[in-house]
Amino acid sequence: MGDAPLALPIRLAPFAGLAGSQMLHLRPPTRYASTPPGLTGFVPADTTRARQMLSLLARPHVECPLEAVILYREAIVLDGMQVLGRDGTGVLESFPLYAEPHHVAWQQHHLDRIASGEVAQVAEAGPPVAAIFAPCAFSFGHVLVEMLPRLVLLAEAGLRRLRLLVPAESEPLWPMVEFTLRALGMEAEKLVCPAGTAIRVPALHWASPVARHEHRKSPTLLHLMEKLRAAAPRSAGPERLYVARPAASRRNVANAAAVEQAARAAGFAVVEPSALPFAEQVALFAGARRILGPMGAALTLMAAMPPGGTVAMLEGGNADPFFWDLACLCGHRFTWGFTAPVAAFDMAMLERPMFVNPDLLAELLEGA
Amino acid sequence: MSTTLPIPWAPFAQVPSAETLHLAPASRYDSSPPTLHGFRPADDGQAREFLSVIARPEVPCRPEALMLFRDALVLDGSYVVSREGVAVRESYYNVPVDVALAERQAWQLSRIAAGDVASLPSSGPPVVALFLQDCNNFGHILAEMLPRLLHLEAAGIREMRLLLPQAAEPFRPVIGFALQALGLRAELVACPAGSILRVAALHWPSLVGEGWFKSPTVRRLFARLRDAAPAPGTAERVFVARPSTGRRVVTNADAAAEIAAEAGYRVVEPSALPFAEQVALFAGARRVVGALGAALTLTGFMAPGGRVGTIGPGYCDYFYWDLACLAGLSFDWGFAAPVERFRRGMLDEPITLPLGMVRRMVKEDSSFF
Repeated sequence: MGDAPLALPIRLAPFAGLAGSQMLHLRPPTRYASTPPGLTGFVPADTTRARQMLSLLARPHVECPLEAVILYREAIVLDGMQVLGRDGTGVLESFPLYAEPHHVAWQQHHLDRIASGEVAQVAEAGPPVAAIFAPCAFSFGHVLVEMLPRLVLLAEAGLRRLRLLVPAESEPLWPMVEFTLRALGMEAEKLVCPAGTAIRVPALHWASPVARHEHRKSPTLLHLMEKLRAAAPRSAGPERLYVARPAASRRNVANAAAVEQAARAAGFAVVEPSALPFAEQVALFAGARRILGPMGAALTLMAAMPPGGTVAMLEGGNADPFFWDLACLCGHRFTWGFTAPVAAFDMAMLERPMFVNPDLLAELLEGA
Repeated sequence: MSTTLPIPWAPFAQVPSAETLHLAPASRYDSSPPTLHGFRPADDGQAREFLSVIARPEVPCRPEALMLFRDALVLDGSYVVSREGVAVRESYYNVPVDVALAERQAWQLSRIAAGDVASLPSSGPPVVALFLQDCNNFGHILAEMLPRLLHLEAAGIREMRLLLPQAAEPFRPVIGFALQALGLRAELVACPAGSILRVAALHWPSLVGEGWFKSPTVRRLFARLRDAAPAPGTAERVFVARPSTGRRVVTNADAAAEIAAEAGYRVVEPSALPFAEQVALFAGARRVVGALGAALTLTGFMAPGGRVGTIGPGYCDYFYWDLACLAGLSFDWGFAAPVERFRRGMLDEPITLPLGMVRRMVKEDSSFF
């Protein structure tokens, strides 16, 4: 028996159905082909989860809904991300994908502050105000794949000069946003929104989602990556990349030194992208044909690799289809190397170090 | 383009003169996804089919029956044609419907029209047909044909005349062991290839599995054979070597066997042993690894909870995984080549086992890590 649905204080409705909304630009529904991945080290410790995964991997294609730029008048934006229409209804797609119990208190906090008039105000004069950020705006991978492509929609709507609402958690990633804006021929002033704040916007330009995290991306991302590749410096870099995790990161590779040594011996350049400026990251991956590495945000840079590449990912049993789905969109062959059995999901998995079996690594180095 | 066959056919229950002597109800068994190694799709359609099949939660099994066909014809000792001239569809299980079959049937019809038909005396024990197209293969006989004897037993038929196609001749010892284990007595009636035999009352047990599916009837036969075999062997870990002269020769068999032996596996080529000893050997095993081949059908004798690892070429033969599901065994599926659509020629092509994969499969723990 399933749990009762979570009762949230803010009523939510799909973006097109909100009172006072106006559609400014529309990308029609589309689809992209899905390619079954290679699988090795796949041990179904949790058979239910394994079945769900296998069924998903057999899909022939991915349907993408329409994308749009919507104008909401007299909107309120929470944390720089979540949008409330003028009647107080929340835009469903701007809220977290999965409702969790702590969202109740978080929403109530915002409602209480709005009721007591603790709402900041964006000046009416000035360039259009836009919102593109979404939950997990602190994560490089989420921002690259799920948020920055929404700038393409704004550009297509003719909005080339903006004031962009930027959640405080994504401020460290502003350089990549700036590079993207330049690549798209746009410019923007950032309006940083601290966590816990509500901002009233007289005319909010909100770009609809271009992904449903693990299951669906959008050709709009491909359009963005073309622009980023064109704007990045030319580089005659290595064709084979082993994408290492940052030294202090979670999900570190316990035998990283041995793994990287084996990768070098197989002709892979060992790179740690976060040590490079974003433009150089794009340039590096634009020149690559084969990528191998442990699951992590840097692997989203596979989107910068031209179609037809191969990607092999080491993963510790989480079975998150996000990267495989991204490879499908980008037209890359994807191989999934599991370093631990596929188990029921728990958040601790996202922290757990992995040990890479040398034979598994050899298989992936050979096939990647 | 579909081929039109000269002999019309119908599912066994719809053949006009079919009589049901015994009926076993529909059933099911659980299915568990296998462990996968080296799965690389070369044909996306095939890969999608594979992923969908291994995600199944259970296997539904159709009702099974013992049928009586009066005044029937049996072609090649296997294929059943009723007195109305309607073939029993299921007796052609696994036979490609192609021009070759159409030509063969046309030839058979011309011989029947010319009266070139042998007859069995109507007096004597009941006549039984249960062998199928692939009766030249140990695994198919063991898992798809001999279990059908249980339906005869259930119908109280303990003595019979069993039609034996020429291709099944080498398996007389296996058939004899199964008959003995079930307490059945049978005279084996040799049916040369090309033979057409008229039988006054033909007893035909229906299939015990089809396509990717087996049946709990198979599990029951394996249990009975295990009971009849010598005490289980003492080797808990068995590495199954392929015969050196068979199909799908393993090019690096010695290197793979050496890895297995170092990991404490007993390296065995089962066909070198009497069948009863094969049964006992596998009944005692907890972990079996080997290249894809008929001898792995013996994993059906392992006790539930054991683990089987196979490395096959690049086609998706669900047979051994499905058998493991039925027997309650964990299954590790390794691919030595990218996965593509099945071609008959693949059955003969040599296979090179990825030694890293062998090393991981023979590791003592069950998770590879």
